[in-house]
Amino acid sequence: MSRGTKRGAAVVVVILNCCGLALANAANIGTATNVTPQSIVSGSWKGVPSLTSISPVLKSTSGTNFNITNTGTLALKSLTVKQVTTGGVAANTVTIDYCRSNTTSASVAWSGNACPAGSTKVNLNTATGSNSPAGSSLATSFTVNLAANGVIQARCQYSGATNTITDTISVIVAATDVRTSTITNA
Amino acid sequence: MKLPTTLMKQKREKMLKGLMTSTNLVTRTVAQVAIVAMAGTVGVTVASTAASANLDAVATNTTPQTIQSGTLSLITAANAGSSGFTSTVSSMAPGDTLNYAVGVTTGTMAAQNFYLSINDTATASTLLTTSATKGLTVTVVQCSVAWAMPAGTCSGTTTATTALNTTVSSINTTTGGGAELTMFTGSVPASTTTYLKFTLTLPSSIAETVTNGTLPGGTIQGLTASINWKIRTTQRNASVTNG
Repeated sequence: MSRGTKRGAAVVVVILNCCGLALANAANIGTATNVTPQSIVSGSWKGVPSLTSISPVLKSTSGTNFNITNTGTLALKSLTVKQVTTGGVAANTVTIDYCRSNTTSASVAWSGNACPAGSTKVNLNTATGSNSPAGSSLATSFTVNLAANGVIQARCQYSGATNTITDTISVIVAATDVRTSTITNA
Repeated sequence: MKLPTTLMKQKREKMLKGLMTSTNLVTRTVAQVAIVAMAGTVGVTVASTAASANLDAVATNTTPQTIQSGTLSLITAANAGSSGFTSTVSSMAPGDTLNYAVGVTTGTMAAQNFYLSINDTATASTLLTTSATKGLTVTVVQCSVAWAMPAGTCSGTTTATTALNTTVSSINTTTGGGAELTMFTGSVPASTTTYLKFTLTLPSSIAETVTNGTLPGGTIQGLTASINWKIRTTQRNASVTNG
């Protein structure tokens, strides 16, 4: 048998043995995505005094009223008021307080220099007549149950010897002052 | 590497044609005999279409062979009683949790492994989906049956996935810093539904303080995320069937 004949026969043998199909072996994937993006918005916690400076602070027969407003989107269960006072003496006492309803715990308007019936005076902060630059001791957290846009009607006044006292007021809200966290099953 | 079917077939045909038209009589004869022999072993019809000097033999299966390809697909739908991925939160506080459930259904092809990532389509990805310390976290749990929503309970068997208090930032592939998470490995039968409950949480460890209403720099407050959740699977391993 010639060389050409042998090659032809060999090729035929290969073809005879060739019996499988060759399949493409791509790694296919399937994906699923929500068409409408899921919207998640974080809330905010803020308290803003309508007055950040009172000068002079009025004596205890009177007092200066101002508001503390929850300008955040989350209800607050507490907040902190800080005073930095100058011009007085250690014997002077500068207080910030408000009237809280005995039934709803909401802030109510002052009746002159006193809390109206059915409410109780609650102290937010007490400082000496001059505590700058150290600043006053911070009030302990207190229950306010202040909804978003809720308002505390506060009053600032001093007692003791007559002095010209200046007061710088700050409202401080921490993440821990926000209402109790919730679980939502949607 | 195997050549595509079409190319292999063309090569075989060209080779056969060469042999069948060879000027060498022995080669032509051997090729013709081979065609007849092959037809005989697989039970097909052989026809001779010409006489001797250019003899052709053709073998064809009389009943067409049926080959069907499967469909690898995934479809998600909200679990009954849940809003699924359309669940939203408008004012999330530190420690708040949002639970919702979805069913993920495979197509006619079996699959394997589920992967999870997100794409935040908000105008600019916010800390909600980019911060590892203040941003959202996600936990995904599988139930053997549909989750009972809105109660959020499973009457079957629950199986944790690897998404356990996972920071959303770590699976946010939009920012380039995140990567797809392998939720679980293993086979997923065709045409079946996998029931998943997602739990989104804003960390309770957030410690931001605001004085007189002025938000601090890098705040997590008042931000919006627009999240596309992407669940991916791959086809089952290729199989060899001797039919």
